[in-house]
Amino acid sequence: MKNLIIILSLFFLSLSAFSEVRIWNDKSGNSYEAEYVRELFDKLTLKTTEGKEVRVAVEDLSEHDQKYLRVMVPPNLKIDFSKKTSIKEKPYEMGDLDKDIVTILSAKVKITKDSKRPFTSGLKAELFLIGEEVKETQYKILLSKTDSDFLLPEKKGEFHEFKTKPIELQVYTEYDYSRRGPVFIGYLVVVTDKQGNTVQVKTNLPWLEDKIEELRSLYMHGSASRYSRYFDKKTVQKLKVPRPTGYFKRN
Amino acid sequence: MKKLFKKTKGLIRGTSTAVLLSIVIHAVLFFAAGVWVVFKIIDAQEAKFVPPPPVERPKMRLKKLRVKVKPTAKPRKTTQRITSARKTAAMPDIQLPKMSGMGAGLASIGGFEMMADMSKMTIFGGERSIGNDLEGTLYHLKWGRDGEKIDAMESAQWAVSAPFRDEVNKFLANDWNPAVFAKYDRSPRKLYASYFMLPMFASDKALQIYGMPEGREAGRYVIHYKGDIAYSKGGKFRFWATGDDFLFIRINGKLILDARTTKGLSAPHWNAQFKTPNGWKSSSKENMKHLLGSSTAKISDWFVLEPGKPVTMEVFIGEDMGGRTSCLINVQEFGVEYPENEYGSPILPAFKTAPMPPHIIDELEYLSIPGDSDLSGGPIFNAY
Repeated sequence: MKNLIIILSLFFLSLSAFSEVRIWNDKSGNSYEAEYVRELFDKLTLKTTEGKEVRVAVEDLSEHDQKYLRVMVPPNLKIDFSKKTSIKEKPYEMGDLDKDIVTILSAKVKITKDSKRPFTSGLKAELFLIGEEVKETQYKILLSKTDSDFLLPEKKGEFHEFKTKPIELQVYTEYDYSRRGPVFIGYLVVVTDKQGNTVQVKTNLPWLEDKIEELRSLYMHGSASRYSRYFDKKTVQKLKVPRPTGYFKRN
Repeated sequence: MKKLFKKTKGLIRGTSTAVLLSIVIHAVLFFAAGVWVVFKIIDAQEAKFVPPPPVERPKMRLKKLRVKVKPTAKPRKTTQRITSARKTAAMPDIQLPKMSGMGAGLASIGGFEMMADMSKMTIFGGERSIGNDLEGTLYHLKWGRDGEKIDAMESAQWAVSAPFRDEVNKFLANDWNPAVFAKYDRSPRKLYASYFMLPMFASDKALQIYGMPEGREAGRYVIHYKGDIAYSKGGKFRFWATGDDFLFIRINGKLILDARTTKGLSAPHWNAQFKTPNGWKSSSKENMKHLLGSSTAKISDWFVLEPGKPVTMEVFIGEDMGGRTSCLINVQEFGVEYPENEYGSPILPAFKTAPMPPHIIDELEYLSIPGDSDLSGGPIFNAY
């Protein structure tokens, strides 16, 4: 329920990007100086400059306004995230205190069109996979970022899907018997339009919801290696990596 | 015979006038043609060459691409734990050479630099040379060049292989001639290392990164690196290094370091049976007194570099049994004092022929023990 609230609130927040005041005309000759608020059951809610909310069926709008919607206002989307993990057998190596645990992680995002209304402009989806150090959990890690440019399908219920490349997460035992390595904790999916406006966001990590720009920047500056993408949970700014305690006791 | 003679004689007599006339006419024509050709050729040769008027070619004005960079960049200060950070006036403020972006030391063509994609560099090095690096080739002695497994190299798990050691010794005794390994499987790709900082890693990783077929058991492999190094200011240097199972260094063909492992299960067999060429031993009293990586630091002979004059450096590392392995090379400059780590050992700069890319520093900091090496400071031994 909490997640649903987060997702809905993010959705309605994100729509503010399309909320410009303009003149809307319907086929009956009515005009409204209003901004777009939301779309529900194929009806638009518009908020007039006087603060009044008006509901208009999409099909009742003028041709010009319908074209505006087709190009500028993305319809409702349903975002589904799923992941697959498998454990890769890693034989005992001489010098190991314990077997390494190597997890192969791959993820999939499905973006379903949840409206009959057509939308012809391109969209972009970004998937951020987030991890943390298995022991020193204050170290969060941007494990990967996967982008997918796409056009929405015509019919309601049809979807666009994309996958990440498999990621190898290796946890090993240090010589002081501590475990080191990254583990997966969550994801964040952002859909944006061609103008870069956020269309929709989905995450299981509420603390990331308003840190999208920070995540993008972290990835841009640390794209070469996961070790350059350790970050602080509060600020989502880069952190120096944690250091090992030692291969063996040195005293 | 008599009949034939008579016939022939008759034929000659009947056509002699026409033939003679023809010969005369041909001779006259031939003579006339010859004279004409000769005189024509001589005439042609004697004709003076008049060069055409010069064509005006307006010069294209090419504007060089300029990238604003700071002319100098100071190495980052170490943030590692130091118990007694002694830095005296004798310690020079080492500055990196002028460079543009990460393409330091690369040939400049028409104002543009040949930029290697540093983001593709791994802690093992890159697949493309950046100019200043040592080229490494891996030989897997468990497999022949013909793709057949070599049974003689097999042994019980974690047991040493005498044939492997014999081949390594043969290489060392034969002027490090790679032909010794000609019959063994060689890596399909070469890697170019501008540093040797491999804190503990699973030895099968080396096979993967060099592009050997998947699923091969680690161990019984060697890697031979070779390249030129130089230092613009010149100076006297020595290496502090450790290699698991072994690491040797030559400068201009002379062995200056045997840094085989001295800790772990494999150490006794190496110490007992391994032949150091010419009985080389470290002359440093500090040898094997300081911890480094998974073992102790072995200290090389001093070597002198004339300013900007390149020397050939070779590094030879290998792994016998498999398991975890490591390889670290730091460098010490004569007369320079270094900060110390919590164990009282100097924090020496990592040996490098080019500045390390930031993502490599991040990865090495994650993997290496604080105080083992200064990853970003120290001299850059770039030969170009």
